Amino acid sequence: MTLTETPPERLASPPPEPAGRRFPRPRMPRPRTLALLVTAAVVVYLVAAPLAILLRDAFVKDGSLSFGGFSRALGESGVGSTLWNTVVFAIGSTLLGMGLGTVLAYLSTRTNAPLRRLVYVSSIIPLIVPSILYAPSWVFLSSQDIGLFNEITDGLLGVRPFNVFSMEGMIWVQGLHVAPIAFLFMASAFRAMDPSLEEAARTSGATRWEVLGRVTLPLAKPALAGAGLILFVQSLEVFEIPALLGLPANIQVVTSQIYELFQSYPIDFQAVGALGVLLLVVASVGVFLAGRTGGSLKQSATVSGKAFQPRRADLGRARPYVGAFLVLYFAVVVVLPLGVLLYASLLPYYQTPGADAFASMSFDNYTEILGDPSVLIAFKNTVLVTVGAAAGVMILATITSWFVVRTRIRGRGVLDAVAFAPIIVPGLVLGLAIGFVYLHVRLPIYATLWIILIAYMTRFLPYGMRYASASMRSISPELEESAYVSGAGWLTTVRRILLPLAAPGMISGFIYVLIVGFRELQSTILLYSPGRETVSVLVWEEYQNGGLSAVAAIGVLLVLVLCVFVGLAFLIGGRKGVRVQ
Amino acid sequence: MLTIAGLTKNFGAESSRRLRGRGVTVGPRTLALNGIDLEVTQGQFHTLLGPSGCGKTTLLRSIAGLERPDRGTITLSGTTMYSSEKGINVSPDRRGLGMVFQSYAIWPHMDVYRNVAFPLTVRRAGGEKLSRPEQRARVEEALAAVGLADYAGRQATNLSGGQQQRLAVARALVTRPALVLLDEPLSNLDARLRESMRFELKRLQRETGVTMVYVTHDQSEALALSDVVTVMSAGNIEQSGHPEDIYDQPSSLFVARFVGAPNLVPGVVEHVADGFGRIASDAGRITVDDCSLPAGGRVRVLMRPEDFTIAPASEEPGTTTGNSFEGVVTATAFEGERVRHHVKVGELTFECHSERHRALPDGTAVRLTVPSARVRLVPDDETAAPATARDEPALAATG
Repeated sequence: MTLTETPPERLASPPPEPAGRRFPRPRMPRPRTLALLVTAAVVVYLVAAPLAILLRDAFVKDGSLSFGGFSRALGESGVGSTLWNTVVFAIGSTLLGMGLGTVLAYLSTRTNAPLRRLVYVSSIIPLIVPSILYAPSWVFLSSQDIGLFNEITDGLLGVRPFNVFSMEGMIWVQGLHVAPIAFLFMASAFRAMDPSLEEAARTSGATRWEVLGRVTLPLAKPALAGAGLILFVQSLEVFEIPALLGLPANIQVVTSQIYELFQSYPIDFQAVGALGVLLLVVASVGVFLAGRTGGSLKQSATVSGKAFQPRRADLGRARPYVGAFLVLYFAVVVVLPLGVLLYASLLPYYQTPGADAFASMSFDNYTEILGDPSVLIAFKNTVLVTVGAAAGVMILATITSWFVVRTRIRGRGVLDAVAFAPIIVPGLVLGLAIGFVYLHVRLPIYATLWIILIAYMTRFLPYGMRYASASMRSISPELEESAYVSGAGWLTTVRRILLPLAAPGMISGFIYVLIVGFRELQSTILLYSPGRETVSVLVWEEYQNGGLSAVAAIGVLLVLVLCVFVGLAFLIGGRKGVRVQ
Repeated sequence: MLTIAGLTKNFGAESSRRLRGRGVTVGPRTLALNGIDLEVTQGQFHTLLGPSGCGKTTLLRSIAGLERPDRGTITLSGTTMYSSEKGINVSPDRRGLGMVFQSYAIWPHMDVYRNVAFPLTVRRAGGEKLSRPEQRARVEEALAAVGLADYAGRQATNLSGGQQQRLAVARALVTRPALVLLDEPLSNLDARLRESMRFELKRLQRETGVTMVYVTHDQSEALALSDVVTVMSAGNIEQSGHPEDIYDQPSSLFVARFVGAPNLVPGVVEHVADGFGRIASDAGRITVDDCSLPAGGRVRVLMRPEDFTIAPASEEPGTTTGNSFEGVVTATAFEGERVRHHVKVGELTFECHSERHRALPDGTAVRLTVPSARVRLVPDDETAAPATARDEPALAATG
């Protein structure tokens, strides 16, 4: 504690009076107010306008209240079956996904299971593979006539037990596809849990199973409810899997029915709107039920609270079996679907593996695709729209969450809720509602890329909010306050303090929106127009036209592009991990 | 130099909830600041002392402009910074202050030099920015003043806690502000470092002549550092004065408790003559040399643990003219340079400190003596439980 001598008289010289004291500005600087007003207006417009128009079109016919849409939409084949299928499918997929994800999360964070890293890989890959590719992969694997699994059992036992075109098949594929989300949420919940709570139970005399049942899982209840809610909403809104796997077996859910109504001419907008409202109601019921157990859609798998050194339970003799289970899971969830996709992409037409098939392998599909201008246009459109949407979302989300987290302005709670609302709006419903808006509004936006951009910005705003508010909360407000006191205005503080510190979170959010944007089909399918296809729409169209090899080849390209994005995200997340006190 | 008049602020709903979470009783209309008047003179080291939730940090943040009061005025060097009447509220970046935050608020994306230079690069000091070489000279001077001259190129996050604390001080001083505000700057340091940083801060303040307003909940820190200590409670100023006065003459029970007086015996003034007083207390009759309170008033008799002399009851009583109490030692704690005894006197437990070689085993019958010149009276203004976060000291001699 020895300090160098300083000439005290220099520091002690009388402080200069700052100029401009005579005319102090009465309030906080202008740019702040301006930023707030513009952002709030844009957010409210993006979210509220489509929902308002959707409700109007669903209930109002020729200026008076009418429920005709509902009766027409649900009248024909009975209200029951469509709604029943929707709920069975959503709940079934949620249960399967939650079960798998929670078990894997527990095994990989709290036990000494072998090959734990494999679980992380098997949770990232399905996350970035779009459903529009995941469903065809499973058609290749387990359809009644060409499915690989059925070929194997047929050869061995003479039976073909697997049928992906069924409710069980739909639940299986969707459940596997959403399990990684449950895994990520539960793994971060288990990691954030103080292990001494469990140890206290053990020393009080509880067995390992009692600890699990009476301490660990009850503590994880909010995380379970939150993750379950997200899985439920995603399974409600998913459209590709019911359309590709359900419709051939005549299984209708609300999303596939919306799509069918949209294909018929003339389009009964009131009936379509009514279905959209119905889906929204089911999703809201889910939000309500999850809220009662403390679950919230705002929970984020990316926010890690206090990190505890995990203490791992010894699996003992069960260890090899658990290892085998993890390998099997990895094979079923990652290796087989991607492998079959790659395999199919090299064949001129799909056939079961054999000497003939391997002999006919070539890169012809790829050369054909890369020579096809429509494919290049689709990739270009996708990049344009997703990059634009990701940038727009992160700008809006950053400003919005600054006001929500940092200020006490009245109405900030409402702004927060509005910015989060799209997360419960199924993509198809949102696409529908935005379509309605620009059919009414005479702006040259309908049938352009702009309408897709607007849909993406609305749809992904909640994700951006999650990243932005998490990184805003991790930055101590004192860091900004000390800049104000040092003489920096709002804009200077944002530019020199807030943005550099929040950058890692912002960039991760940007890349996340890019990834989900590349996968997006549910809104796009109702909003695209010829020449404005995105890659996912292209895959959808090729599948409808029976071009399975082209689907596989485009799919492989798409997965490669997404892997690059994810790699970037990890690189940035790892390198720019800023330590904040 | 800094004048605050009638400053009032309501708790927002949020901070009320936060305080209740910490166990502080907050009514729906409780004021965070209840008409605070405060005068800080040039070059003063002024400490705001109080329990959490007493409004001291709100007051400090109001001076900085980070918090907006509801009513009152804040004047700094003759310039009105806040006035509810005139509708003036100068934004924090235009108040020209320095501030040290509890978390230090060191910007992790800048190195040490750039952290300190930041105020110079954004502040329009004296209407114009300093030139580069001038900035460099100022930064180096400030770093040297806190002993960080060799660390300029370091990444700020690679500094130890104590070094970060000095960096924060350097950043607050670099613009040579008239007033520096410090918000519990030492509370995140370990005990040894805290002790030595006290002397550092005191030295810096003396050498620079800067006026400091310092917030803390640690009474020993406040007493050690300050020219003036202002004790706050529930948005009000309880007492303001020289540290010794605060310690010796607490004007209220709250202040007495907060500056660490364990022995507060309830009683009533029986008789007053020529300043001498006689108190009928729960521990018997006690005489006081300096009694400013009228007969019949309810009081608490304050006897500091270090003012007692403890001796086995078997020893012949000396010729002390003070008060003496007979009791039994119930607990002994050896603390290195001193020994703490708990002595049961009737229904009360007294705490008394003595030198280490005077340690007596539990169960010893003892006689406590305290000169009547050392006994103080505190008006017993307590009607209900005090609204403080601090619990009644476990050993308090209350009846």
